[in-house]
Amino acid sequence: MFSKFIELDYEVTLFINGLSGNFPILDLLVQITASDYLMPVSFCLVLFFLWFSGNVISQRNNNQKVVLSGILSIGLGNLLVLCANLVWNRPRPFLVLENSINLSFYRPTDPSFPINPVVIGISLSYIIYMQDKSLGITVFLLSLLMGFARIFVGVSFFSDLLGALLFGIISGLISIWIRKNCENVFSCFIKIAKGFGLAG
Amino acid sequence: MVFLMCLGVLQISVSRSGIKGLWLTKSGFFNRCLAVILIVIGPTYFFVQPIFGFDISCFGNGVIGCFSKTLSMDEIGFARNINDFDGGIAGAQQAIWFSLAALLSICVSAVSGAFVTGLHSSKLNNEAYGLAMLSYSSYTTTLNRSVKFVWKNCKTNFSGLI
Repeated sequence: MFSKFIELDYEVTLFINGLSGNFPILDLLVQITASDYLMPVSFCLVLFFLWFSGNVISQRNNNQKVVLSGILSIGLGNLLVLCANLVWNRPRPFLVLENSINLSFYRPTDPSFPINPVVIGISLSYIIYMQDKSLGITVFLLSLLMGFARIFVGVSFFSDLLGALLFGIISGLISIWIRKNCENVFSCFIKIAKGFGLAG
Repeated sequence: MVFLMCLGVLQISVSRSGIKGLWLTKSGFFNRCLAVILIVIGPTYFFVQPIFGFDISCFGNGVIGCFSKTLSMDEIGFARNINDFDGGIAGAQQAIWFSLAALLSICVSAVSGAFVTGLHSSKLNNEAYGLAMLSYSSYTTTLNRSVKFVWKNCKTNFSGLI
């Protein structure tokens, strides 16, 4: 059963990766999307935007608490990825399927499972969705786009993307639970930031 | 790249929420236009720079000398996709650089906002502090009042934490 799942995973990965190498401009755009700089920075910029947005103080306060939850979820997401890497040090597709994969990216040395930036993006999108549905869906779609880009360039499997979805949702749920139970801590942090004229 | 994008995103956010103390210009419309330009220029310069070998530090040598290098389509994608060990930026480093860039963008906006709102505000709401006060006041005035307000109400503000 598991071997069949792995075979299916390889087939889907090779199918998506097989789309690369046909249109240079598409390859270039996907490489930029899969890079370590564009999407992770974009996710952080969404949080930066949320901190200052809101016409009313109460709305801004809620947004700022969402941002703090988001920062917490980033830490939790990275922790979950670290735990996953300790349990399963999965080699990258270009090591497992070296003759079949069309690699158009640098060779990462960390484990393939799960896709780290996608975990962060999914957890952020889950938290942001609770406050602003359209923005949450946007971040979710960007995260998925990055996941597919990583498969396209040959550095991740399709199941790595599925794992990232799962870990992202778990990280988001834990962050929301912590926020509900530690509301005072979040409020105090915002009051300190208000003291510096940067919140409220 | 990050500084320009942070500045642009900040301007869109504060233009929408009316926080004039952080505006770059006196007009909300021009602010948004400028923000879009900054958000586009940042990543464009970052990803295009290796293609043309354009380096802002080479202005002194003449503009022609700056466009000395060209890359093929295959090489363009790899220009900015490099491993941490080969010159890329690790995740923790990215977090530090992003934080610094965000802080710098707030500082630049606070300085320009001081000229937008006037260095001293004549309309002071006794109850407002923090970002709410930045809607009509400069950052220095806001900071002064906010620190005093939080310090004065220290026990009330943080009793929930204790």
